[in-house]
Amino acid sequence: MTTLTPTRGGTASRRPVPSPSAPGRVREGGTILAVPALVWYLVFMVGPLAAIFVVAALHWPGMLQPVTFAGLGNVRTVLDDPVFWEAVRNTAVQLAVALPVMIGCAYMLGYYVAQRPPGHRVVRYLLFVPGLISTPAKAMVFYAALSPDGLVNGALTAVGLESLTDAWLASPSTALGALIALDLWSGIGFTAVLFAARLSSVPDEVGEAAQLDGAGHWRTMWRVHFPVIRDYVGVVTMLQFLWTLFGSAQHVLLLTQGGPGASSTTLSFLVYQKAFIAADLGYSQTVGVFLFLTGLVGLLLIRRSFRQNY
Amino acid sequence: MRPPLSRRGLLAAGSGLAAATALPALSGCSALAAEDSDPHTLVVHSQLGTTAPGSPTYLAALRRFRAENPGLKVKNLVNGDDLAQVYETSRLARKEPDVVMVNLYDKTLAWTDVGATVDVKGYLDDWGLRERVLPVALTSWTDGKGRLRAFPYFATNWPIAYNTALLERAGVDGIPRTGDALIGAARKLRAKGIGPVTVGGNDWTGQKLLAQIIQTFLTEDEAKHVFATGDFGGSRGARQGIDYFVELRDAGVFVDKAQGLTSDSMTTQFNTGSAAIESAMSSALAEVPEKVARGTEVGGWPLAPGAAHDKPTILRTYTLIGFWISPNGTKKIEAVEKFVRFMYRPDTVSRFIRESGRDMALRTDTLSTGFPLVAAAQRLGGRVGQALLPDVYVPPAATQPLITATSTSFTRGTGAAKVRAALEAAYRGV
Repeated sequence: MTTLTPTRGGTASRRPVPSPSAPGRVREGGTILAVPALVWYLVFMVGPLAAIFVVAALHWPGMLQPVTFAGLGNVRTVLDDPVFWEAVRNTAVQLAVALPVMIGCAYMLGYYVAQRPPGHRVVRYLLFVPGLISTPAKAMVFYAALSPDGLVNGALTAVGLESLTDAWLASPSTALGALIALDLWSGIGFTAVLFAARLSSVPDEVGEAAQLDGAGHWRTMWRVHFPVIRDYVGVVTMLQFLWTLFGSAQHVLLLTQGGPGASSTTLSFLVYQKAFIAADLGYSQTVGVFLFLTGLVGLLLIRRSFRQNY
Repeated sequence: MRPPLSRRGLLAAGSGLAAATALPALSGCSALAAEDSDPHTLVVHSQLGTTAPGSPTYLAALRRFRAENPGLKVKNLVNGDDLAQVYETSRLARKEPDVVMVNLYDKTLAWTDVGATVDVKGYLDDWGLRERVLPVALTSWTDGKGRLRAFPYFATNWPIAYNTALLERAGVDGIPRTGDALIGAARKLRAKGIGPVTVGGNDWTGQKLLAQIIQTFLTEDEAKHVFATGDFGGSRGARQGIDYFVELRDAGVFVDKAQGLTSDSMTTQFNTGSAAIESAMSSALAEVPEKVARGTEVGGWPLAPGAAHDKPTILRTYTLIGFWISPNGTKKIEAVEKFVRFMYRPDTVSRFIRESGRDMALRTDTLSTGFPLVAAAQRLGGRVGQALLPDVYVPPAATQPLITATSTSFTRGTGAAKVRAALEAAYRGV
């Protein structure tokens, strides 16, 4: 009776040795399967990206018009245009106001929800509701609420503040504010849910230790939990930065079409307006290049400043 | 032991299956597109078909056309303000519709030049339809090179609608015919909490009214030059017109926040009686509710001393909608001929006038009796002066910036020099 005793280097002949060609076969099959995805990526992601730079160097005054090479001529036109600079200003204001407020409020809300207060499940759902509504629906809600005989003016009149009523979307001073309000309303809940999820996985002992040491909730929130999830906050901030920077075109188009004048025109809307409404494609893509570079710089800055440092 | 169907095998099978189903689907797309070149299908692209004024009549006319031509299938594509851009995209793919119904404005000004549509002068004469069209309409639709861009169809009178019931309530005597009378009327209206002149400063309605007011001091030729070149500073009449506009604006003639209102807000304000005066084209006049229409009269925009016109002005255009024929349409020209002939028939034309209150660029005896304001505008005739609709003269590259500049102009506190600079800047990209 033979027994197979596992001895070092002994009965290795009884154990099936993996043939040297098998790993190679697995790797080959894997690469071939990836080719369609790679082609798709090249054609639909890298291609359009390269096209932005190409079109920005063309003079293309309408979809059916003849195309000529313009080199840096479009850049000069764009830099000379006051509407462009107003769009830059508006975008800067939008980001400077919306991002800190959104991230700050969302973090505080997320922290609150993560403490599991009574009714926290309901709050989580309520916070997520704006994320379930499509962008045009959200914009129409705001359009109706902000119209001269809409919800906001009605509420102000009801509490006796009739003198404060205004045509919010029709005033150059408040049109951009309305846009920022829409950004905040649609972003805070969703971001808060993200933070709550991350905070829930921070060990309870950390918070309890802080409380034992006499720290209140405010201190715990900002001095204890925030540094723990600092990297995550950076990722979320970066995402919101990109979404606000590139996604504002839809909100502007539906609410104010960039008006009155150019007071609510943001860079992302300017790209759309110049491409599809005014049909000046070279100008539009030059702004697109500028927007791309801004996004890139902002992305790197945000990630760098929120790097985990403990 | 290795399982019979490994993960790798499953992936390979799955992608193979997906590819096998995708390919026929892709070729199915071309089967759908093939019907565009089918000589028994006519594809018409228009703005009528949902909520635009005249849609019910147009759809009824299409049904009648289909009933009279059983072998011909008609597909109606509907788009709103983005029709020109959608058409251009389809033209780039060489899959454009056969007939396009749109106005002569902005992007469409260049269509005949770039070959997006064809010159229809030959067809007009071949089909013997020249006598059906008003001569002034034919001139408006003919470009500088003698090409007829499209078959004229809709026109409009574009007067000022005055709610005389509201004016009386505010103690205003009759329709103001001078700028000073208008300012006085505005003051009285505001005292009674009624908005004076409502206008969509944020879109095309504001642009047209601003253009009309500027033309108070411009003759027709001067106006053509100013709108084609943007030379607002160099023309004395244009400068005076802008000063007149700023004077009216700062005296409170326009409703508050006019710079942010749209055409919808404008018609709502007028139709609900919260504003007393609006500049309305026939489609807007047709939608004024009966209660308000009973106390409304139409007239022209008040003049100022030294004006180039001797009567208050209205806008009038014959280029509101035309039938443009695309290169694809020339391949199915018999079907297109049947369609255009049907739309040009006196009974079809009368239906639009009677049922939708539209004005037509064709010869007709029918009056819009069901739409008293539209009929009143048709009867104005020589009692008003005529200002030029800038649509045909403003180059496409300047159209959108001009609308933005208009919104700036309607903002109270913008001085005349700044208004002039904003308007001129709109032509920078030309």
